[in-house]
Amino acid sequence: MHISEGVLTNGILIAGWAGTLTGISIGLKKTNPDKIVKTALVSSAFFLASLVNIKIGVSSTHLSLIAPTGLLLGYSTFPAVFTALLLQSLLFHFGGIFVLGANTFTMGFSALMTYIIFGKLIFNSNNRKTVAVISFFAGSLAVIFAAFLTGLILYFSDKNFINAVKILFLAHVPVALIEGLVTSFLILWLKKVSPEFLL
Amino acid sequence: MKMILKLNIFNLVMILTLALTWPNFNDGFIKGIVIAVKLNIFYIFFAKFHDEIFDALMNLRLPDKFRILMILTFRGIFILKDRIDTALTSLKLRAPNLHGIMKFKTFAYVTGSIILQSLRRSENISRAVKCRGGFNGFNQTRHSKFRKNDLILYTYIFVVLLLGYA
Repeated sequence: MHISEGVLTNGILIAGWAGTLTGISIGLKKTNPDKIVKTALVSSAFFLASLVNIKIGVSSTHLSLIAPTGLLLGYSTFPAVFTALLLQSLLFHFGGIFVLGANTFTMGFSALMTYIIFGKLIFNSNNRKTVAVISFFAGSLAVIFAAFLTGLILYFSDKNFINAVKILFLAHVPVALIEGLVTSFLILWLKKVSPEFLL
Repeated sequence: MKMILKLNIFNLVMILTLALTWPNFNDGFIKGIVIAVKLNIFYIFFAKFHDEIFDALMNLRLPDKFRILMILTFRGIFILKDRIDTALTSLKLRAPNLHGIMKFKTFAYVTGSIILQSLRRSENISRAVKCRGGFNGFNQTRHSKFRKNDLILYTYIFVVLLLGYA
């Protein structure tokens, strides 16, 4: 879901960086120093999952683990996503330096929203079926929301991107279903094996 | 500095070779520049990351949490990559014909177990590091100062990045 360099207008780039820097500063303040190791490991997993990339027009799709990142890290999501995307843009040229703010915002905000909306429901429920269903929706909707935000950013940059936005959105529907399944199984497994690992 | 000089002498030859052998001189030249930029970034991150970059991040006055997060994420990538490779090899040998939902279920379990195992080991190491003065104290004994060479290196990195993104 990385937006390529040179696609967005200056206004959108600045807005993306403003949102990302706000997220990072709040995230760093709320990050417990003892949990930095966990944040770094989830960030590494996010980095590795995002490497399986398929190009779609001016954007691309991949298995992103957005929802698990949000559910495992909570408010520390933004610094983790930013670090992973920064390393990706420097080492593999996915996205870019200038567009890093917008890319971090789309994924970080979606992950954070997943945590805020679905976090308590998942952590407080002891029924496996309920957890599975909620986690599935959390995983799927996180990807759909990230694709929606990416599309919105592209559309506001240039109205001619509308067709690319439609393709991008449609291409993310199967990814969302897969991501939902993976999130569901992952959260169920973590709740069973190591519930303290979840927030 | 010497290694960077040697690397870029090679880059110069590579850029010239690409520019002169490519059907269009400009296309070949740009391809060469892009490869040279990537080689430089790879060198800076993979060969120099542990000491110089750590110090540079410290000198840039970045928040400690962010600096430590960046270093640990970078190391975590290699740890997870090794474990994922091992897990996927054993998965291929034990269950070569996974299809449908079972495939995603297995992928989720493998991902979860790798993160969890790595986290437990990393937390143990992190506790040991804290006993020895923590991440902040780790580099203070050889804290570097801003020198002429650093100015040359920063200017060089800035020019390389500018060329790469131009």
